[in-house]
Amino acid sequence: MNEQNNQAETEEVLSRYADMVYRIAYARTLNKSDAEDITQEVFLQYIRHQEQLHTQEHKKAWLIRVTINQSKTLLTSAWHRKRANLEECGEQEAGENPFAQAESAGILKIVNQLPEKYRVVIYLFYYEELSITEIGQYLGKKETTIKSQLHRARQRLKEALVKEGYDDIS
Amino acid sequence: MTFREAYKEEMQHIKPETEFLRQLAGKMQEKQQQTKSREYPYKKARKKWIAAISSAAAVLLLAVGAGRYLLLQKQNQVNNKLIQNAGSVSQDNTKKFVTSWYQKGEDAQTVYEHFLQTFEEEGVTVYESSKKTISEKDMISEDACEKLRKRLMRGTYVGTYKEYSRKLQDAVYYIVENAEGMVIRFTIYGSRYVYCPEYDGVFRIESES
Repeated sequence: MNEQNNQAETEEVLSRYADMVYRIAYARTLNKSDAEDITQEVFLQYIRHQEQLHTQEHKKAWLIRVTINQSKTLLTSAWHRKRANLEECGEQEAGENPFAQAESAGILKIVNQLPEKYRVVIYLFYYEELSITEIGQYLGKKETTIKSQLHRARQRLKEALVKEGYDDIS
Repeated sequence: MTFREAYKEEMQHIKPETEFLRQLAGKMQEKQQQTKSREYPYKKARKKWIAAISSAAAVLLLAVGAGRYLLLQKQNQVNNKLIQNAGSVSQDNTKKFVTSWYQKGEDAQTVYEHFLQTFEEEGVTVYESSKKTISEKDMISEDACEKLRKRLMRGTYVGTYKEYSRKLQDAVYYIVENAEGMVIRFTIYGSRYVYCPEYDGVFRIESES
């Protein structure tokens, strides 16, 4: 009975938050394998901490924060800095890249050209529809910092998107 | 189409593969089992800690209790010494004298009058000390003793020691010894109040002129 409950709980948390965690990891790393590694690490850590996370808001905030931290750890690791990207070397078939289709649409391609700190803020603001205050809390940054990051990201996006025919960046 | 709508639409395609999620769910289950199996030693360790802390607290309490007991014992020794220093009589003798000095249950005023009668007796010696332990004491002169007696004669009861303890400061300690070796201790606070441990009452007396 207990095992069934655990299984149901695991499935519930994955179905609710796996996409979000994966997308934040992807927004930071722009790499499928890295995003998977980070997602796995975050959810395995979640098992150790789940008893302390009582509400959905608390769970969500914890998962966002840990995903950001895990991404930072991976991006700054010596292994990551020294490795050669297979995709960059052209050894991976274009058809195997699940993001190729999405990115070719244009918007993501432009967003992904922004510096990584802007990409996460853009994702949390436009996709997760979090307020600037919430983003600040989740990322452990001041509200004014998030505001200025969002402002700069928008400016850069505007310039690129106007060329692509999008006129509303609200 | 707004930027938000277009961004959301494209972002929908960025998601983990079903196979990856299936494997991840399996790993999470496994991890959960491992965590559970480690729960017992954790609880055992926690119980051990609680037991250790409890016994430490018990030892501490015991030590505090023993300390207080020893302190009280020491205090009693000091009191005994007080009497011995003041005169040549032992504590037992003093008790015997004091018991015969007034009846138990008499009110403070009556006992105070008995106390004053001691000053009327022949061969009374009064010692003064600024220290509670009366480790250093000076015999006061006959004139000073007479003045003190007069001041004490006009004493009026103001309350119990407990009630009046707030106002009792700047103590000078006295010991009265009569010819029979009887010893009575009393204290004058700020030249205005007198208190004797043999009765539970504080009396206001005249200030030194």
